Amino acid sequence: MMVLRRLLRKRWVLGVVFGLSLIYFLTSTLKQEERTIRDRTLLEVRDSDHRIPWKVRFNLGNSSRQITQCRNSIQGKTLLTDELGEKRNRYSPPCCDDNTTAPRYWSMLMFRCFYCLTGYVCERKDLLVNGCCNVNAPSTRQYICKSCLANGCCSIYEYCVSCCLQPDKQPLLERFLNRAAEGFQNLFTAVEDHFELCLAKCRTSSQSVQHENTYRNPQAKYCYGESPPELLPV
Amino acid sequence: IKTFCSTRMYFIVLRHFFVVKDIFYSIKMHFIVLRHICLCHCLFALILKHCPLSVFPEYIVAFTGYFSAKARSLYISSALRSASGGALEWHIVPRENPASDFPSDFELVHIRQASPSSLLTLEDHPYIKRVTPQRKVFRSLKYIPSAPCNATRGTQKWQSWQSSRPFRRTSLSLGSGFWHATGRHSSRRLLRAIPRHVAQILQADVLWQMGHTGSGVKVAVFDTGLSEKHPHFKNVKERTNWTNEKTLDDGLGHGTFVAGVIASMRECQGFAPDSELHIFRVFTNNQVSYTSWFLDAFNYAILKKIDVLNLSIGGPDFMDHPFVDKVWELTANRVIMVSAIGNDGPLYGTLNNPADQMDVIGVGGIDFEDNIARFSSRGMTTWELPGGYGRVKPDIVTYGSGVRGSGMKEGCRSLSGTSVASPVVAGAVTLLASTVLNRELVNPASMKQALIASARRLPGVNMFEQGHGKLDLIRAYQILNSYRPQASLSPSYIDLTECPYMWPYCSQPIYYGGMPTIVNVTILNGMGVTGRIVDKPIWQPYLPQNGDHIDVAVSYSPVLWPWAGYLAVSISVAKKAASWEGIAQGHVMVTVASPAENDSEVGGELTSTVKLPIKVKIVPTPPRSKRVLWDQYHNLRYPPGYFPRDNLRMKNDPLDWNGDHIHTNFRDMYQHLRSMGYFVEVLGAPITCFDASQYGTLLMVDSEEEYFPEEITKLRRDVDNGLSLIVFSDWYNTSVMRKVKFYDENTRQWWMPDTGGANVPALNDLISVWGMAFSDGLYEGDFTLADHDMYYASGCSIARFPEDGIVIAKNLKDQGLEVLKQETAVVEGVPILGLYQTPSDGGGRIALYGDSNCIDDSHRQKDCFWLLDALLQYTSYSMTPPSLSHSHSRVAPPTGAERPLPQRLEGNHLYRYSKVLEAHLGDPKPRPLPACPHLSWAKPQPVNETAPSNLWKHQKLLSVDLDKVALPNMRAYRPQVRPLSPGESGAWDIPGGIMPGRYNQEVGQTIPVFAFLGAMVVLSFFVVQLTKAKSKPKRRKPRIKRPTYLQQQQQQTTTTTGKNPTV
Repeated sequence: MMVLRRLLRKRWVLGVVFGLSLIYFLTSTLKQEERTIRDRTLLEVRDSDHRIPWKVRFNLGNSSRQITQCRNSIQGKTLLTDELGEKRNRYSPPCCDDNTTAPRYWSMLMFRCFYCLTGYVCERKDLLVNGCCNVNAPSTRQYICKSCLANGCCSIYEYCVSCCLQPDKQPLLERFLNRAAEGFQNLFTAVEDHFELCLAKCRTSSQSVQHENTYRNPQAKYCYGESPPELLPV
Repeated sequence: IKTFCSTRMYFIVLRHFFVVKDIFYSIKMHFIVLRHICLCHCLFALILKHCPLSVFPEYIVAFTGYFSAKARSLYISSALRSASGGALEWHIVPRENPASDFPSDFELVHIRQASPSSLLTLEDHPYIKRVTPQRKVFRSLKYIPSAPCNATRGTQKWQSWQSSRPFRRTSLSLGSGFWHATGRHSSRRLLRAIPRHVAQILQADVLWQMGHTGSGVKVAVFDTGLSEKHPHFKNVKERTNWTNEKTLDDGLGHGTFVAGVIASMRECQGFAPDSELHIFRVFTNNQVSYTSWFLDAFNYAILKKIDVLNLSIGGPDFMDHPFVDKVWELTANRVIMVSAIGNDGPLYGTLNNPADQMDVIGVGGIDFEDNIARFSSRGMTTWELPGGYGRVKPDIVTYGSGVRGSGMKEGCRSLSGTSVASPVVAGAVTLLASTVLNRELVNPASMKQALIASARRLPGVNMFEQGHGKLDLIRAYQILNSYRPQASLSPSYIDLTECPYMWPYCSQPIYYGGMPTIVNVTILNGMGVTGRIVDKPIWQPYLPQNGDHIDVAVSYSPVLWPWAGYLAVSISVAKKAASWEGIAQGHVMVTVASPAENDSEVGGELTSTVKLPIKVKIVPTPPRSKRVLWDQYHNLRYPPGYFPRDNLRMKNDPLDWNGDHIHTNFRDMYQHLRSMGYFVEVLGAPITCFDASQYGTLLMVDSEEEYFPEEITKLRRDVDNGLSLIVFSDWYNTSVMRKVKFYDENTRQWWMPDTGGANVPALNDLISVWGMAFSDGLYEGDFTLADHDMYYASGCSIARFPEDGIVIAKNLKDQGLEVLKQETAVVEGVPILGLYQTPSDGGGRIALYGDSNCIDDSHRQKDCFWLLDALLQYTSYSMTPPSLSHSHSRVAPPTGAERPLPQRLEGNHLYRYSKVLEAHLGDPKPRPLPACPHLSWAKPQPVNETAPSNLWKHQKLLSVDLDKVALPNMRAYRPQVRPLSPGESGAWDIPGGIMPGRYNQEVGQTIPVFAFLGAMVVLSFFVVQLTKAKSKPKRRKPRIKRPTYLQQQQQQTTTTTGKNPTV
């Protein structure tokens, strides 16, 4: 008893007690912060003025990125769209040098070559080991908007992605991200670049259905555009 | 809440049907279009009766304390030496288990001719507490009825799963060896108590010991959410909400439970505690969920590159195309989807979507005695009807009854339902995925292949109930870790003689002239998301085994996407075997090719060739009178249309959705007809497509479809030529149909039934040539017919019948009046049954009955198979049953003059779902008659081969020979599953005491950081102190301080009760 009391009076003991409490305090607060960052709900963030912190970078405008590996639209039955980055000078057509392409990067990119997404559509058999389309295969096409309607809805997913990857679609997508995507924040805040955005945007979603169990337009249900598919009369 | 109480089975099932609403009066139907959660919290209050039987002549000798084996043996021998002068023959029964190395307080002794006196002397020994006979305990539900418990000395009742007092005692015989017992002793279990931690039962601890705990695998739980600070989870990566409720937390407990079964790390242990949990809240606390929420949530899951997705939610609507397409898309993106097959058993034809999809692992439930759980949905898929035949589902079964998992806030609870079985498999899949070094090999197909190839078949259960059998985690681990990309088939062989596994195929042999038997095989392609069948499948009959007696036609998916496709094998008997009886065998060989993605050569393909052995029993063609043809073509069901239930009393199950097939909800009728010696075939094509001279009777039950004009004329000709017709109709009343229409809030549209229980106006078109018609009356009630109790459940009456026919009438309640005006009225003499012999020479007979409910398995109250027998006697053999023809209920046939015949409901949308009608301006018109299905028989390539005697043992996956695959060293882990000694508790909660793997590492990573931080704080404190002390050395003179200190001490010692001075 005595020893304990004496011990309690010692400063270093108090110090240890204080230190431990501090540790506990720090751990619990840090953990909570971590949790709140992780938890997202599409409703919590819905402030009218709140700008969504989009991670999307339309142009991977640096030469550090090598074309060793392509991502592609994994799911296709016969077709695939890749994100083959093509090495281009900014003055060489048709890829990334037109005025619609991310002018804010220009200063940085002035004297550099850079890669841009080309959105080749190819058959599965023409896929290279690195996941890119074999551009020399006869059926491989670039930026193909086949089957796509004027409203930005296509009947084949891969063509929708390819069409969406076209540089001139970028303002459309930016507009969409800033306005129309309110209901899709969960999805589009997690999107990181143009390719992912097109993959995600072209998928059928809650916008594609009416009466929950039917497509608004079963013929053209994959849309890169802002508006949902046009409703077909039953 | 619906309560089934089966006293015979000794259990009470409480099923919470969430979606059950009174549809006819205040209708709110969530599950028509929306997925309804399978979450049936079927809490089983399992009250078991135990029948302890003495195992003569073994005795348990209990000691007063714990002694070593040697000491125990010494005591017993000394005690028995004094008894009967040592003449007693006895020995100690060795107990070979891990506990035998430790001191024990009892011993099992085998004594021959033990007299009560010798036992008494044994008890006299100072260290022996008591001697009791050894007992065997039977604890199988299906065993009890045959062995009445009251014959034994005592019965014990245990309320187990929900008991607040957990009973943790287990029999010593419990060990890992137990799990290989399946198939040998299914009716006997030496288990007194069953460990309810399902991860342990499935031996997940073996994999944990090897360091696999699911780390690095992303699991998505699509459910009711999860609360933030649940103590059971350590790696919840993200929670997202996709509902219209502003919360991420679970308000029902379902989502927490499911997540717990997959990844709980303490108390009730999950399978993969280190997996990355992604919680998707897609179901509200009010049990509402929309397809559109799922679509967005699934898109997010694809973006997040989820590996395993559990969906303990399902619904009957497999024609919800946006949803079905999205599930395909999901699996095409390499998400392994595990889903619950549904809680609508034991009725057949009750499979839920998406578990019934080829690319999804559909999970059924069993109890801990390896019986298929009553609630588990079963029967073939009904997508393929009427022309084809359903696929085998569920894929696999596992524990789904009384499984323990995480409670909503903390602790554990027990739940039952296939939504429990699904996360068991999802957890196992997660754990398995983390064991594979080359994750490239893990895809939805390879995982499914590994699971079904390793599953253990349950005895006495058919494949439409158990799929490939019970999940075996360890064997799946072995297979997956020696897996090479390949194609496989499900089922992997076709043995139409094997009963009961291949029911219903084994229930009826095939014969020349019969409708081809179709087996719908699923091709699983582990080589790639897309694939194709190279050339054509080859049919190779085995000449020594009469393979040339059968013809085989094969149709298949043009593209196997995603990961799977169908291979429909139609088997027919060759003409030369028309009067032959015997077994014929052969095989179909299929080569599947997929683009090789890791091949340096462009255009390279992986190929895999699989053999599908076929074995059939052929009998000579039965006589015409024995052959009954079931009309499937004219049966329509939900989905897609609103076809209301045939029994209007069943308000909680408003839809006719079981397929109306002889192997789904008319299964009992089929079995009955088979037992009566009839051969039943299914017509999946228009009536114009069968040879009527082959069949005695055409059976049309509860038909909703319209008829082509060609069918009507053909049927009349057939009946003139001797074909008989039996029609079981059902109700059709436009006022009632309007009454049961409702506004569905969820689809924001009106739901109007497209027909009544049956399509009576269409049936009247068919039978009007004989001067017959059904009315639009709606009747209900009990009556007695030919000494049989009958129940008429929402049927119609006969409005018109030929003069020379036999008509039976009964007094019934007017149910139409009840539904429309809530009034009760009894109508006298309602004609319900009519028998008629057509006048032409050798003409067939026609029998009409106004209600189909008594031969339908769903909601049947009293069966009338006797009536079907009597009608078949009449139609097939022209034998008029005297009980009907001389019945005092016989009345004069109605002429139909007093009431107009029912007309089709105006504005019905039957044409949308009909194969016969198409939209036209004004009324819908019949389409042109489609061509009859034509099978192109495969050109046989006979081989001089003999099939192995046991097709079941046939290799399920190439390159994986289970017998050769080395088992992981089980011995080393045995202490982990050691049984508990009494008094020891809680050991089940954390198996082996410590969970290996990342949990410890993670703690080990975070603790040093904070420890370092703390140390720094303390250090700085001291530094400050030290500098303080140094800067003011003169204020604290040791000389002065010391005496003060001593004084204080003296004070303390003297004034012991006084307060200490504060410094």
